[in-house]
Amino acid sequence: MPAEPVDVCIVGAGPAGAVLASRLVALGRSVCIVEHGRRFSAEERATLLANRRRGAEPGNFNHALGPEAQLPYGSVEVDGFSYFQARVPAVGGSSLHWSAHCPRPLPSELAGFPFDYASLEPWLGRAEVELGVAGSPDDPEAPARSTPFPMPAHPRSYFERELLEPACKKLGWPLVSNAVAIASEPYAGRAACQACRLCELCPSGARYFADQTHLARVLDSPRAELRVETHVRRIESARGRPRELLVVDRRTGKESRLRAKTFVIAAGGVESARLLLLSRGLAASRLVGQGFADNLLVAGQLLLQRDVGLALGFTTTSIHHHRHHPKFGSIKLQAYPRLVDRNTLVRFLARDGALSPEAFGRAVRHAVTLIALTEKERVGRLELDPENKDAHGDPQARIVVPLSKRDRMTLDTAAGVIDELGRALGGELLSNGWREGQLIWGAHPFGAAVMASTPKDGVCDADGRVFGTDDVFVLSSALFPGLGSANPTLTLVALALRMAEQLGKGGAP
Amino acid sequence: MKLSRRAWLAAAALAAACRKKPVTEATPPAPKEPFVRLVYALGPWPLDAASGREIAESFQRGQPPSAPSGLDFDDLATRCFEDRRTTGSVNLGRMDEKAKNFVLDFAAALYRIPDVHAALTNAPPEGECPADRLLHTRAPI
Repeated sequence: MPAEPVDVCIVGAGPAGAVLASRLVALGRSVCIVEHGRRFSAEERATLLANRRRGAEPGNFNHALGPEAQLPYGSVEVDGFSYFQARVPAVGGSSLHWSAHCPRPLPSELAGFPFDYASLEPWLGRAEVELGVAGSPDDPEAPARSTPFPMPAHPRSYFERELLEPACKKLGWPLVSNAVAIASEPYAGRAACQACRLCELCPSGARYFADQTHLARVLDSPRAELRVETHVRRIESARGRPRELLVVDRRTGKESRLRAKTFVIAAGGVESARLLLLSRGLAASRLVGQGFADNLLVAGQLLLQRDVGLALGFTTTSIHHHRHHPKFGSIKLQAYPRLVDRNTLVRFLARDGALSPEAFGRAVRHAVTLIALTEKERVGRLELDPENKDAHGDPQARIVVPLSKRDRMTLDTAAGVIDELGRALGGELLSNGWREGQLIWGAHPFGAAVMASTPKDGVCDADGRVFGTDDVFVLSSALFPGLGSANPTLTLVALALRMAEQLGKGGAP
Repeated sequence: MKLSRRAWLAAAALAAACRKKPVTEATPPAPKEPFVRLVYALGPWPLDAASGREIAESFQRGQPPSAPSGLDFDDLATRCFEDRRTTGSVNLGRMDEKAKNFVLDFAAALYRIPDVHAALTNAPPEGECPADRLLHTRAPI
């Protein structure tokens, strides 16, 4: 165990914290990672897999943790969507259940950031290497890249090749290979994807898991310590005293204080901002929590007149046309031969008054799901809820995310885009979520502690350092002033690598 | 993890049996437990398939939709089973709204189970690695 104070104390053992810790240790720094949850063993993973296949519980990481692992600490709900499901409070964090999509942000999607695409681009390339991203430079409108993808893209499915691509051609929307942190060939100790199609648990290890890669490596070092099941209450900044992290060991209930030369809050888009709010006197900016947002998803269910073949468990292509040419907010569209909305299909089949397994089987083989990931305006807010306290009496986060006029226009456009693609594919659209009042939260919370050039415009500077401090940094999607319709992890890991370089060279940059 | 070609073949055989034999020629006895009876009636396998019982028991241990109060579950399961045995499908026309909605929810939940879904798609069950890892690129059979 390294002697205190360590060089860097990282709150959160998700992908951002793991990559940062790994690089810092490689650069000779000592780190202590404090994680609210526990670490999953190989045996537990095997049990989850067996349960999942039988439809038994627990069948995923959050079910295995149970509500008692997190509800008493932070149960945020927005319109029925619970961030309890979006994150995994365990070693590995959201990488335990993510879809592993790693699109690069477009220059336009970085418009609000205090740096441009060109300065981030080398770090994006390095992040692709760290995460092991498979992809192809086949997007004709993608910005320039200085390094190739570490692995080739996954082969396209029968449906994508024979049905989707011709439909996209008709519409003038290029079909682009997805960049995913799922190995398409053996990579850095990870197996190539074995097509088992249960990606959430990925038994082959082809998908990136922070706990099995960066954290597993870093914990071999005497310069690294991982404190599991340790809840962080706040960062205390009493005048005349060194800054300290107030933590509680969840197993014993014992409180203690940790010191470090530098603190990095890498606890996700919700809890990072909440921790800043709980740490009174830390963040000088009144903008903490202001401008919270998330991606919104619209899903449609399409039934074709023919068998569409099989799919991997993840989508291997996307349509980026409406990212490059947004009418309102940007939209990323995906279509894959996989049924997600069984309720709609069952009710559709029951319209003739009978339910036959044969008809259901036929329909399942003809079903296609269309999903549009849309950009949301930063008009929400995250604040402390005095009426809803956690297990230690600290206020939980309350999130208010109204839909702006522009959001509604973006969602209307997304529903229209789903209609258009459905028509081009020649199927019968059974549902188009937004039109039926269904909205899915993207689980990409961002914008509650944004980076900016000046304290007037943000909570943190361009390095992620909280304005008004020398030694406290944020490393989560809370930093993002915008997200477009790009999944956030690749950009976040690029920021982690950049931060590691700065902290590793000579303390706080 | 290249395993269980046997399980894949079993799933394919189950699906094939389902396609060929929606109505069993003999009359298999109805399971005594109403829950199992309903799973047999709605599931994609012949009414005498042993795998149906295994899946039904596993499904029951999970979190299946529970029957609304006032619904005679035993009677409903019997009617569904008899429909399936005689016509190959479950007749929803004779059910009241409450029973019909429950049966639809039950069917949707049943088909969410990977092994049940696999029996419909001619694919190895999710979570099991196929012998051919490019199976998604092949034209459907």
